[in-house]
Amino acid sequence: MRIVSLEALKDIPWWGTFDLEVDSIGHWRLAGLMLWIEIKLGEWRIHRVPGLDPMDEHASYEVVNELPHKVEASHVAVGKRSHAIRVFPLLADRDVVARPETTTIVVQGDSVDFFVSTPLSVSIETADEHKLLELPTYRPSDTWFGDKLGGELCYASQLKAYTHLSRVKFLAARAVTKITVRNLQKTNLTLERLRIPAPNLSLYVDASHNFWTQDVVITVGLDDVPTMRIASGPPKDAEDPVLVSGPRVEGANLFSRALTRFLS
Amino acid sequence: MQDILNEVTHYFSSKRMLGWGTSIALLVVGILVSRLLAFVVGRVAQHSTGPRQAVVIRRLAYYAFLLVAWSVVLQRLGFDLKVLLGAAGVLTVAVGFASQTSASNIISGLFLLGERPFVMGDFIQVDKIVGEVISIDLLSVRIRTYDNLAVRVPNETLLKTSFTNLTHFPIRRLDIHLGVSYHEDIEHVREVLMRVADANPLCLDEPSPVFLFNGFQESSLSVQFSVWGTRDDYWELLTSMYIAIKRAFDAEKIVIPYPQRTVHMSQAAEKPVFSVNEGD
Repeated sequence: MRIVSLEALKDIPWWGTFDLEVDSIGHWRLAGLMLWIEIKLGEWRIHRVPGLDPMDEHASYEVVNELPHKVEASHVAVGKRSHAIRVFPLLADRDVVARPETTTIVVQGDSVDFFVSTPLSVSIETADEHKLLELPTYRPSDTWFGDKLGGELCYASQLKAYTHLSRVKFLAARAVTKITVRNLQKTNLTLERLRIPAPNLSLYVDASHNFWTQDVVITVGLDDVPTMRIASGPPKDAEDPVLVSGPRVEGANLFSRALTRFLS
Repeated sequence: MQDILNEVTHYFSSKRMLGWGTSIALLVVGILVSRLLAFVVGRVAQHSTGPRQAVVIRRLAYYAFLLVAWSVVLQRLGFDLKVLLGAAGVLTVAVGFASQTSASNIISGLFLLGERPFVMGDFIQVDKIVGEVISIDLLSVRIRTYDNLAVRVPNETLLKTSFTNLTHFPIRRLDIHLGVSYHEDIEHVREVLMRVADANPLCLDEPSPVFLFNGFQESSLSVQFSVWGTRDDYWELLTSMYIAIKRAFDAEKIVIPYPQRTVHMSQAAEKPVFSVNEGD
């Protein structure tokens, strides 16, 4: 099997529209997710093995001759549609919670930037953009954000939130979000967990094929209530960013959103 | 014969017929107005309570308004309401004695509707019955068990006894009780269990898993490992955790011991209690 390195990905991205012939098999390996799409007349057969390693760097696409044995599969009737397949990256369908490397204290009146890498999902669509299936490249653990009576179910990021971009490792199937936390309280703010509103963010890709999301600003005001604002436009730290997909939840960019908690 | 005919004709004289006609018209209008008022009351109630409570309140309001309409009609027809109310009181006492259980269930049902300890779709445990609440009626609550049996629990029972709502809160703790061999390093057991929880996507990262060393049993070291999951994934979490723990223990050669008893043979016991001499 040919594995495309991150450098080579600059020329051959694993996502986009792939025109496959009848009776051919397209094979993608995205982080740990292994995906085979077999093209039959009027039918696509999608075989997959879920990803298990959050740090998996693999990202490849090739046409293969053989299918794996005994893996989970779905059959999709596509009728007389074109054989072109759209494979596109998406951000997670739930908020993602990440922990800073160490408990971080934000001094009153100060702010701090965090960079968090979250796993992408893959949307498999027909050429006319009918979504057939969505698969996570890595399925993170569930976590609960808030108290036991009325919190919210989120994904737990296996990777830490770093205060310097240089410490973040860009992986083929993960997107980086910059979160700025501003403390306007009269006391210091202790941060143990950060919540990234992934479904509300747009996904971008930069010149090096690294994925980014919009920047997020969380402000803790004098009333001790955190408010979140999603920066309009592409991420400032990305080089020549291009929009890949908009937010899953529309309209989040238009106004500041005040949820119960974004920090703990 | 002529006398009877005259009497009937007199009874149904135009004035009396007019009175009956007016009363019937009043009753029809009363029924319609009662329905309208009950509908309005139900709508108002739905905003402040729930849909099921609103239905009950609407029915009660309808019967109350209808009772008033009937009273007006009967009074207009010349009936003495005091006598009727007296008779109704005696009848009520008689019916009340005969239907104590039903009345108790109805009142219990009203209390349950007001308290709302569960809603339709919740899973509750009453005594040894566990199932999904499929209807909350005035007399009873119907539960569908996991093996698809319908169980009717009288409201009075629910009000008198304690029951558990298994799905009231969005997340739930799963307690796994284990016994490991006395030869095991308990810290190693803890690390293995934490790794198992970490690898299971259904096991919540926060609230974090808890490891408790409960004490010493006859044949094993007693351990409790508690993890959290969402109420929807509870059974899948339970099964997947037990499977993963078994596999992890097998891989790490951690022994879950069978009940065992160690028997020490003393030196004295090696000698026979009775000796038989040769030739005897």
